Formats: sequence, C-alpha cells, structure tokens
Amino acid sequence: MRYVVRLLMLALAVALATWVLGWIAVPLVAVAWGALAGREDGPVEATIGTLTAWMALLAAAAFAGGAGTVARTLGGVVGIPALVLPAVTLIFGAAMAWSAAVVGRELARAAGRGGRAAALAVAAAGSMAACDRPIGGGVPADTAFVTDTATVERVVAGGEVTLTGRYHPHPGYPDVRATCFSIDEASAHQLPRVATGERRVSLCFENAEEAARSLGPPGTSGDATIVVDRYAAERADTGAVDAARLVRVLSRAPEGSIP
Amino acid sequence: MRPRLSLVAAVPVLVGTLVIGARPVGPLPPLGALLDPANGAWALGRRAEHPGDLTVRIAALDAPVRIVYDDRGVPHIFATTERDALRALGWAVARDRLFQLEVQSRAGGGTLTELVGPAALEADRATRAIGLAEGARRRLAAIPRDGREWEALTAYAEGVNAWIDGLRPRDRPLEYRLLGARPSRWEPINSMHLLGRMGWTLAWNNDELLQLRARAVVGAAAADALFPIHSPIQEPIQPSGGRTPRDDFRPPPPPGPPEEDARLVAHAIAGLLPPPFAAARAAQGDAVGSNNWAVAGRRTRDGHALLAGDPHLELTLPSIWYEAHIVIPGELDVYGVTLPGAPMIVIGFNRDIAWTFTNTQADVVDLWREMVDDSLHPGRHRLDGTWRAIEPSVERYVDRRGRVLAIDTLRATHRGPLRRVGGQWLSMRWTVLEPAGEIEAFLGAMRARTAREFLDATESFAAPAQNMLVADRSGTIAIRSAGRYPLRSGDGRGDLIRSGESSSEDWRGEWPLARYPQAIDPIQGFLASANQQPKDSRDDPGYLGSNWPSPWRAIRINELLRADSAVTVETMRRMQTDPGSPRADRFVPAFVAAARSRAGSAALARAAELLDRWDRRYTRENDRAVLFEYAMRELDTRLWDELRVGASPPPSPGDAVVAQLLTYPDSPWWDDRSTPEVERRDDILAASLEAALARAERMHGDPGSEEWRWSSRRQARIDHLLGVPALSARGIPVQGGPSTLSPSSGTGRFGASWRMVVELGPELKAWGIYPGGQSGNPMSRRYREHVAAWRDGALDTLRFPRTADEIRNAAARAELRPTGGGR
Repeated sequence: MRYVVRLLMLALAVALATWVLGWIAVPLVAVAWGALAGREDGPVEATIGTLTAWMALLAAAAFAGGAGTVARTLGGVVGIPALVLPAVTLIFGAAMAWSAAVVGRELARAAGRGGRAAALAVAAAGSMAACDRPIGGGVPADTAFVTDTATVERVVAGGEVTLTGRYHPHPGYPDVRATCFSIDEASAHQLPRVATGERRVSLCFENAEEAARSLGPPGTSGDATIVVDRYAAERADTGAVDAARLVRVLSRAPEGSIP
Repeated sequence: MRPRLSLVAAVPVLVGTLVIGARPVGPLPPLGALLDPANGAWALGRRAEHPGDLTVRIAALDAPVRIVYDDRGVPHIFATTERDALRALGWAVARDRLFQLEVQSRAGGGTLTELVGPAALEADRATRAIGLAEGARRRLAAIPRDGREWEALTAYAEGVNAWIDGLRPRDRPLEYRLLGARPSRWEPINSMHLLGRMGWTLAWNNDELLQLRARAVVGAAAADALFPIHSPIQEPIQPSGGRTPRDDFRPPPPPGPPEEDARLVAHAIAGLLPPPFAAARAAQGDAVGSNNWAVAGRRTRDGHALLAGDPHLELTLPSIWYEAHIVIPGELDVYGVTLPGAPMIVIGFNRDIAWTFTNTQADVVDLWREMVDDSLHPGRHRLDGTWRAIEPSVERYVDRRGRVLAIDTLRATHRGPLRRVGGQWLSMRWTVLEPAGEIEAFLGAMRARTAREFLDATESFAAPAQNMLVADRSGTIAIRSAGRYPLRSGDGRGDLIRSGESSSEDWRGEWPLARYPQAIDPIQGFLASANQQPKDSRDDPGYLGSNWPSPWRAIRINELLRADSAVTVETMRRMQTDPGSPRADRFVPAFVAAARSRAGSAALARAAELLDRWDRRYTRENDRAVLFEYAMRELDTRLWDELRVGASPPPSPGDAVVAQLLTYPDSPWWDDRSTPEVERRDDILAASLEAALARAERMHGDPGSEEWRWSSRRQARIDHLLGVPALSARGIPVQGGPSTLSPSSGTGRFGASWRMVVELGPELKAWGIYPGGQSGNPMSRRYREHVAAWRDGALDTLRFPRTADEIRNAAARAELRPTGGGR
C-alpha cells in the first residue's frame, strides 16, 4: 500500500512540476528521485510516476477539448498518425524519466563512494527506514550515503529471509553476552551487502533475548537454519555492524556450551 | 554489474531525449515544447477558442474598451478614443495572429534569421540589399512625433505588447514551439517593415532588365513592340468613352540585330533579383489578378450603388487579412480587413462609403548605372563631373541566440541603394523606400463620409500605387490610381537603365494629381480596374509603366457590366468567380480556324473538334480548358523562338501582344526559324494545337477522362506561413483559369485573398470572405473556417452592428480596462 501511495505522490510531483516548469521538469524530478530513493527500482518508479502524471495531463487536455485536433495537427507536423501521438508523448516522457532516474541513482552512488553529497544523507536515511521491499529475490539493494559527521555505508532490506549457517557467541563474549550468526555461502547471496564490504557475512541479533530463547543462552554454538527480517548492514569509520531480527528457528544442531 | 549496464543504456537515452526535446533534429521541431502535455501543443487545443468572457487590464488604455466577437470570430471593438481603438486592434490581432505579426514584419525588415535561423539568411540579405529595412527606418523617422500617424503606430504597438506581456509560455502559438522561439516585442518600426514588404510585393517592377534582355536578342525596335509601354488592347481604368475594348494594333517590326551593349549589361545584371526573390516572382507568374468595380445606383436593380473588390495575393494560412470592426461612438464606425501589423482598416467600409483596391502596376522603381572610384569597394561615385561620397552601412545578420551569421556592407547614393550586380554598380530609386503618408491616408479614409472625402484623404498616399475605388451612399462612384509617379527626363521612360553620372537623369518631380488616372461618376455608370493600363494611351501617351498585364479581366468585367443595367449583389458575387475568358474568346476561334484551314492529320481535326465544342468557360467540370492551355503553351514556344537565345532570354511577351499578332498572319514573327520553310500564322496555330492534343493525351489519357477535368489540373494551394504541409490547405479545386476574373496560377499559391461586395443603400450592407479564418491557431476551428465557402465563391454576410448589444450569438467577449480602473 505504501508503495502505491509513494508512486502516486511521485506522479503528483511530476504533474505539478510539469505544469510549472514544463517538460524539462521530468528529467529533473527523475534525477532527484533516482538519487534520493536509492533503490534499484527507483528508475522504474520514476517511469511509472511520469507515465501516470502525463496520462492524467493528457486526459485533462482531452477533457478540456481539442485533443483530437491537436493529435491530428501535430501528428501531421511530425509525420505520424494522430492516434500514435499520445503514445509518442508518453514514450518521450517515460524515456526521459527512466534514463534520468538511472543517472541520478548512479550519480548518488558515485557521490557516496567519494564521500560527498552530504545533503542527501538525511533524506536517504529516512527513505531507507521505510523500505519494505522483500529481499527474497536475491537482488542487491545496497546504497551509500554519508552523514555530516562520519562516513557510513549502510544497506537495509525488509521482509523475511531464510538463512543457514552457524550460530556462535559474539566476538566480545563474555563482555558482550549476545549470540551472532555466520551465514554460509549458500544463503549469503540473498542479503544485500555494503559496496565496500569484504567481511565475512555474519550478523548479530537485535532481539537478543529471543535469540537466547530459540538458539540457546549466550556462549552456545551450533548449526542452524533460521528466519530473519529487518536485516541491516552498516559500516562506519569506527567499525561495522550487521544485524537482523530473529523471527524463528527452523532447525538447530547445538555443539555444546562454553563455560 | 547490472547498474553499470543500465547506466550505459540510460545516458544516451537521456541525452537523446533532452536533445530532441530542446532542439530541432532534422525535420523534427524541438519535441519537448510540443509534446509537453501541460504546456505544449496539447495546451493549444485547450485554448484554441476564445473563452466566453475575459477581462484584461492594460496599463496604456485611457478608458475601458469592449470587444465582442461575432459568430465568425470578428472582433467588434467599442472604444472612446482612436488611440484606445487601435490599442484594442493591436491586442485583438496579436491574440489571433501573433506569429504572423512577427514573421511578416521580420520578412520586411530582413531579420527572419533571428526567428528561424540561417535558413532565412539569403532572404534577409535580399530584403536589406534592396533597401527595405533602411527605407522603413527613414519612413518612420520622417513621421512627426506629435502627429496622428505616430500616435496610431505607438497605440497599436502598446496593444500588441499588452497581449505579449500577458502571454504565458503555455499559450505561445504553435509556430514558436516548432521553432523553439519566443515572441518579440512589437515596435512601431515593425508596422513600417510590414508596409515595406507589401510595397515589394506590389510595386517592384524591374522592367529595365526585361527591356535589356529583349534588346540584346532582337534589337530596340522589336523589344519595344514586344514589351510595349502601352497595351495593344486598351480597356482603361479611366473610362475613355468606348463601348468596347480598343484594339490599338500595329504590325510589330521584325526581329532586329541584337544590341551588343544590351547583351553585356543584361548578362551582367541577370541576377538583379537575388534568388529567393526571383523565385517568388517566378511563382507569381500570371497570377496577378486583383479586380474591383463599382456600379452607380442607376444601373443597379435596387437603385443603390454597389461596390465589389477582390485583391489577389499569395494565399496563406492564416490569411494575410484579418477582419475587424472599430466603433468610436459619434466619431468612427469602420469595418473591413486589416493587415496584421498595420494600425488601420485597409479595405472596407463605414456607414457612408466603401472602398477597395487593385494594384496599379506602375513603374516606380528605376536604375542608374554608376561610375565609382573602386570597382570592388567604392567610396565615391561620379556625378556632374565631381566625385560624391557613397553612404556605407554595415548590416549584421544574427540568429536567435545573437550569433552573427553574416555581415554585409551596403551602400547608397542620393538616389537609393547602390549594388554591385554582375560587373555593374547600379543605384536604385523606389517610391516604396521614401517617406510617405500611407497611414495618415488610411486613417483619413476610414473617417470619410463621401467618395470625394475619400479621394481627398488618400491624396497623400504614395506607395505601393493602388487603383482606389470608392462608392458612397449618395450614389457617387469614383476611382483614382493613387500613388506617387515619377517624372523622368527625356522620353520619360523608366524601363531603361539611365546613366548615373548626370543629375539631369534623376527624377524631376512627380505627376500632378490632375494627371492621375481617375474618374468620378462616369457617364457609363460603372468603374472597373483589373491591373490593366490605367489610362488609354490616346488620352495620355506618357509613360506610367510597361508590359502591362493583358487586360482580359478588365474586358470581361466591362463586358458583363455593359450588358447589365440592373446589377444586383448576387450578380456582383457571381462575377467574382466568373469562368468566362475573353482570352479564350480571342484565341479559340483562331486555333479552330487555322486547324480547319489545313488539310492536316486526323489528330488535328480531332483537336479542332474538341476545342470548338468547348464553351470557353473555366468551370471545375470542364474538360477542354486543359487542351486550350497546352495549345497556348505550344504556341508560346513556337512563336517566340527568336527570343530563346542567349544565357538569359526574356520571358515571353504577354497574350495581348500575341492577340495583336493574330491580325498579321504574315508577320515574320510567325516563322519557326528551326525549319527551312517559312511558316505563317495558321501553320503555327495548327501545329501548336496538334502538339497540344498529343501532349494532353500523353499526360492525361483520353479526352473526357477525369484527368482532363479542370478540377484535376488547377487547384489552389494555401500554405501555412512556414510551409508546413499539415498546417496548409492544398489541392483545392477552384473555378477559374488564366485571365478569368478569379485567375488560378500554375502553382495555385495566388488567388483572391479577400472578396467583398457592398451595397450602399440607406443602411449599408456588406458581404465578404477570405480563405481561412480569423484564428492563426491551427488547433482552432476558425483556422480553416472559410476555405470551402471561398472555394465555391460564396460570401458571408458581414455583421455591422452599431452597438455591442446588437450582436446576437456573440462567440466571445473581452473587456479591456486601464490598470487604474478607468472611468
């Protein structure tokens, strides 16, 4: 639902911007959308939003009258059948929107890697928090951004994912009494990674109490198949943290406990 | 990896869409401004028609002005002062014809490149080279700043600019989007450019080149006979008392020896007209065809004077004309057509008089061959034994972004523009370039109460010379060939290049008004003009011009009016598209007789039979005119073989000269020099007719087939100002052929630009039409509104209300108010 609302909001923005600024508003909005949304499917969203907006504007023109004459006349001027003209109009808008959004997305990524574009950070973080895209398709959803104080890379993904691997005590155990999970290669590809992440794929559970109940008290280890959601991977200048919420344990083979 | 791939694809797509969105690519206009669904052409459809009611604040207004658009889209302007009325006229014209305003003015000022780019460079150079731009500046500078003309020009400009200032980008006319341009503000000079451009259209007669080219081939005596200063058939505008046309025939002298000097000069100045202008002239061809006539009350059925006029010009969409009605209670009440950009009604009527024009075709441009101090970069020219400075000026041609496309140095002597044409330096004097009182004349004409007042008001009119026909409610009809006609030294001829070294060769003054071709209430009870020689050469043998258009249309009008002593409005209307042809009446019997006098082939007999059965009327349905026209073309080729030598042979003499030759069957001009035999008239006529049939059958199949129909062969073509086919109206079958009252040119691009009939009874009534509609917006239903009715020769009833409240079925209203609220 939120996805639909977001697209409608985008369409409204495109329509208003087109009304005020003209056709050039489409690439401008799409670039911004691609950069700010940060998601892989930002260009698709920009395209859908633009198509929706321009279809609405065309419908308004047709309702106000004269659209048929316009189509015949303009079609004649540019040498295409009148009925094709609305399609050409939409294709023109869609092509601008998609391509501009892709460019925006890539520019934002490049800026993040270079440690620039500070102003984008806050808005980007906000939009990522709202992310609810399922990660089950194995599609990377990483992005890069910076805060105004320290460089951070962060990837997030919503939805549940099933992972296999080994659960074990937090490296800081016993000072840190928590259980973490090293993901085997077979299931690690389902998770997005920070662009510069070369670390071993592992995470700790944000719901430590639930993890203790399901996998055993801190200090225990073993193989398990688990379901997590709200996966997030962050890398700051001071270190890196991957975390997820343990939803349930599908199977577990404990090895014993560390005294 | 995938993001990189999408980027590789996206960048060219983005660049591509931005480029085709912002700039023209190949034949495509910038697509962004067109396809934008909110502000692009789609929005033009939404605003193609005027809203029902509109209130606008205009700072310049003295008082509120009310505009009511009638059911034909004609604005009826109700104002309290002339200035406000002209402001409102400017506003209304800009509202409907903004692009046309700009493009026509720029065409006259040589600044089209600033609107359309380098494609117009040659046209702009030509415009400036013949002095139109500088002429407009001089004419504007000569207008007193405290006078009525200046007031009219500035008021009109204020009105146009008020519309431009309130124009949102989404309301810009389609053409600006096609060009990726925006409207420029209007200045008084723009009106002068427009009038100058009309001067070029109507008053550019380079008969000097024609004479030289003919002399170079057949000598002076023959050239004078083939391109005479007096028409061989006299049916003058100023009635000469004859009841039939006067054939002023004399045997043309045989071809003489070529004049070597003439050949050299003719060759040198062959490019007198730059290519774009020469092409336009060639396209005009035999399409000159304006008519007007007026009938006194004693020869009309209802006893009221009648007046009709149909100026023929290049047909365009939107039309060159714009209808408007201006009312200043108690002061002015005038209806008619204006040229977009001109602060006046040009042709029309008020409550008491009606007037209309045809072109006089007088020679008002002369050339002098100058001796200069430097053949490439002259700074002085020789005059009366001394060197006189040449005035240089630097002309820059820039595109829309201000980039300089070209720079020309233009020069002028005291006579006018000085140009190097071929190896010759020629200076030129042209009435169109000189200060005149056209606007004053029209402003006065609009207020005239009688025909005589109209003639008095238009005395100051200088150029382009026009046969001004007027009728009033008292029954008076009058005509005058108004303009300024130069007096020349020696034989007075202006069709020969004169020496520039002596001031005695300069113009020595102007014709006095008493000598003008004119008439008031002639005994015959009617007056007519159709571009023919205005005065019978017996009445005034002086030089007014040469190579006059053949007087077939004048003959036809006079023939019809002489035969009818109870003329009606309907008669007048039908005459405007009358298919009869005195030309065909003269030549068809000659062809048929020649063919039957020859025991020729079966084909010749068949051709004679086909032609003889033709009723000589150029109706759309007739299928014989095509044969006759081919026969005339073949005749032209065979008859004038003596002229077809040299690099630039002159065009053929007119049909009246050929008609004259018909009476001299043994004239050496009939001989086809490519054969050993000596041909006589009937040999050539018969051969031409036989060849015409063969040609017609080869090109169009059997006689009687659809392809032989006149409607298949001659069609009007009304092009959009930018020539965009989708915005044009082409292939319009019209009634009329060469030299009928509504002549159709080969290209179809010239025709009756406005037809009007006025009945001057106790309450004046008028009918009119032009091909197209009031709106210049191609999306509007008014863009092509009257094309079909015009094609069929129909006329609309023109609404002429005294008050705004009288207008029934008003299509729209606009209230113009001063910014301060007004009274």
